[in-house]
Amino acid sequence: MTTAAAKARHPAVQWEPDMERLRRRVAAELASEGHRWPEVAATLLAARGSLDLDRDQFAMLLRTSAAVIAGVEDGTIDPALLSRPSRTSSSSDEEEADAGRS
Amino acid sequence: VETAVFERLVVLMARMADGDRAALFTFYREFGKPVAAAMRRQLGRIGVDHVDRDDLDGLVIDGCMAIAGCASGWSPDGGALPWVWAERRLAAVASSFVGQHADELDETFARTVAAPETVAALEGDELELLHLIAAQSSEAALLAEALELVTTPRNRAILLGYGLQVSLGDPSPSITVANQHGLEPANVRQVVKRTKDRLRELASREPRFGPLADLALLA
Repeated sequence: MTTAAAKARHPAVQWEPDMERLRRRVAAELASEGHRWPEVAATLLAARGSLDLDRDQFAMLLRTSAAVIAGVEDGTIDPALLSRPSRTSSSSDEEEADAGRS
Repeated sequence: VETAVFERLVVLMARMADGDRAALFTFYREFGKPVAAAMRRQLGRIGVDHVDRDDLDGLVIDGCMAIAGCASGWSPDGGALPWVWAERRLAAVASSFVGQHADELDETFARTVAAPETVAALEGDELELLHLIAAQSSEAALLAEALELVTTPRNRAILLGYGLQVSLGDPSPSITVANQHGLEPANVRQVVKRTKDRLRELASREPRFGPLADLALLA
């Protein structure tokens, strides 16, 4: 067997990341630290980490502020703030159109 | 490691040092493979040659979390990769894993069984043990004399320690002896081979040492 073939067979080379497993570990760690919403925070951290974004960039993506992202990650802000749909121009247009039809 | 990869490591280590937990996910995804290799090296040092993928992944996560936990102490100026720099922490993770999977000692049973005297002797210096046996056995005396002729005290101890581990059924004797002497397993295997070769050569050259060729140690 060549060195390259042996390296290719090595389990460490075959290893692939399991992001969901790490998310669960981080959620458990946050819970042990007394975090109020560990599952949501771990999911947010996993998403931000997977996308390799800082809080400002991630906040732009979610159309919120970096302070809200930091607060949800730290457990000082209710994650329900993230689930409220922001009013975009297109959704405003649809609501207005609906109102016009009724 | 290429410069661009090292610069990427510097960024992620700095983010983890600042307490950005999202960077742990990025680090795990991008650098989990070298951490996996480092964890396997640590397991190998304590005699664990095989670990299944599920256990390995748990160890990689533990290893990445350990590195993140000490990221503020890492400096890129030294040039050491984080998983090399944090070697002791990774070793602790590996030891903890082995500890979790070891059978618990039944202390009640252990107290009722008197340890045989030979066990205490085996824990001492192998050379000392050989000389103790040499007083009772002509073969052992011949081996002790031959070893003194062909090699250094350190290499004698390595060969005898290796032979001892083989006789005890150790599946990785070179790893065990390497750990005892602060060497790499490859060095141990090399010393064992060279010393055996010299003993065989002595046995074939000098009739007085001929009986050594039949020893299991030289098989």
